[in-house]
Amino acid sequence: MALRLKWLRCFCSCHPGHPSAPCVPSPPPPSMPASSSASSLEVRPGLLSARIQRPPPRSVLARGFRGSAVRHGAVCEPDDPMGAPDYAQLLRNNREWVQSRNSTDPEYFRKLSQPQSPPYLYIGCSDSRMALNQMLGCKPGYMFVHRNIANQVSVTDMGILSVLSYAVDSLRVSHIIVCGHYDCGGVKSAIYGETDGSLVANWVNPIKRVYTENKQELLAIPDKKARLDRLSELNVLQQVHNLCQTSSMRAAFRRNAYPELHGWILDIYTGLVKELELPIKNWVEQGYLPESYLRYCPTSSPASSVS
Amino acid sequence: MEPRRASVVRVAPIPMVQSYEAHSNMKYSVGEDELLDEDIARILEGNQRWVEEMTAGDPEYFISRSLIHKPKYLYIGCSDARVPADLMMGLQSGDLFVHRNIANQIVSTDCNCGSVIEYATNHLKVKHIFVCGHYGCGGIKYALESDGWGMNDHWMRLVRNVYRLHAQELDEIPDKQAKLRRLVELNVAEQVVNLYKNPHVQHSVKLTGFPKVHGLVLDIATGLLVTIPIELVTDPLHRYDHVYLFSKPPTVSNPHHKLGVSEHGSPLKRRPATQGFAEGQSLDGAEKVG
Repeated sequence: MALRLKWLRCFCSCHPGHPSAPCVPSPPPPSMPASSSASSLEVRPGLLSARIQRPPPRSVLARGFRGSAVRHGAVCEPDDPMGAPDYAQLLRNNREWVQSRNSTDPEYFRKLSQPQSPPYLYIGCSDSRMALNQMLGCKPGYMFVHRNIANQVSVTDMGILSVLSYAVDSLRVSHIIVCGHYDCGGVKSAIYGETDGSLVANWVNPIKRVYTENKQELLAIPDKKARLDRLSELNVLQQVHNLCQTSSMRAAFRRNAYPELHGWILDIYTGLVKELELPIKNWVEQGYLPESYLRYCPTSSPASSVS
Repeated sequence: MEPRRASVVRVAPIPMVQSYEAHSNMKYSVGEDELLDEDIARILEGNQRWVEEMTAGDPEYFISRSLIHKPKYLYIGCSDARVPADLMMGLQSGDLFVHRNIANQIVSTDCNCGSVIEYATNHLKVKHIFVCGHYGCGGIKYALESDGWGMNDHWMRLVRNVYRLHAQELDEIPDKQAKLRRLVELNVAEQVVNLYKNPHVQHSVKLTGFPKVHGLVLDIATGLLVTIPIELVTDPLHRYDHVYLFSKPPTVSNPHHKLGVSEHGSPLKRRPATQGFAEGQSLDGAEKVG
């Protein structure tokens, strides 16, 4: 019996406590109605239930899939530490999402299918921990999105140039947000060379230059993790700087109709997004930004102070 | 603190820039009580509310999820604002590795998308790859209608190539909307084929059977995901196996390989180790962090 329990031990770090404790999700919050379906989803440590992954109860779905990190009945396999739903479940989730949206507003999708007019262009990292719509509380239709490894803006990359061209010239977005995050795998691989010899190494190569240009400041940080996090922030600033040099933005500056630029960083450890202060005055003096930017886009402090 | 205002500066009309989506000044509201708000501060407040909501149920939520980055899925989709990748499949933060570009293109020579696919396949070892298009895609519409200008023409040529490959079928569709919808589906199928051309995907599928590649189309008008029928993909695949299938695994130059003989037959000299990352050391000489 002891052997069996050991085999069933959850290897994921999704719940604190003794590692030999079976993977039992935290009890549902008290606001959820007690129903027979909820009690049947209780995971009982045992050979049979360990292999079964049941969908979350309807009350969780109605709240928009928000809940604890461990999903109800999720099985944390060693190679699947997040306990993500199976592929077959995804299409069922989609049907449930549609139903929940239609129940609150029957016209929701009809309105959404109108031509898009998003006020924001978001350039972020491909990292899976940046779940955009949830993280920013932004409903679909607000953010035109481009995501790549380590949120790079390269003037020779057709992908991002076409996104910029469409967003700035056609959609006329009001803001461009470049968002990075702490604990970025792309930044890490640029410094430690884990992916050397591959396409990824070529792609994140500009981050090495950011490192060498700020070496003094970075080496002064004693903690290595904090050093990488600071490099993530500097990388975001560099990418916003690269934005100013793309042809779409330069044309927009010339015709005096351009979006406001923002650099954000997601603190993965707390989930909070922080706005970085851009060196706007320096960039205006060096000619990367027009002088009118100082007048129309005040830069003194971030829009909201985040603790 | 006074919130910032929307800051697009329009000094004079801009006649030379053609906007085929004539909606530059259009504002729409999704719900009666939800007004379109261009204030960045509101978004950051939304983020704070999300953090409070997630940590209310589980204070360790972010810490525990930050320790692991092992998403099961790679999503390659359109940049369109109306497609919520994680919401529409009921996924949470940490599940979906995402790449988004205009008209969800997968280009062989694109370092941007190529690096995402390589990282997801080789390092993250994702189990499934989704290529997701959507009806009403502006990129597809542009490729069919526009005369072409600026940067986008180069990218939209990729969609025109898809049109060329299926011109016979598409030209027979009389209704324009039906033609656009069919081109969206064919575009997704073609990108799935492009994925199979990728040597890293081929090698991984050969070794482990994963990742499995799926083509999806989101119907924004209903919110439902439609799966691309497999015949759309497998027919061109099997027909051109002799063209695209690699017999050997991809050669990624590995700095840690033992030096032996170069391909010309001459023995490779071992150079003295230099400081820095040329020899596989980290940039700051420090040990690798977690």
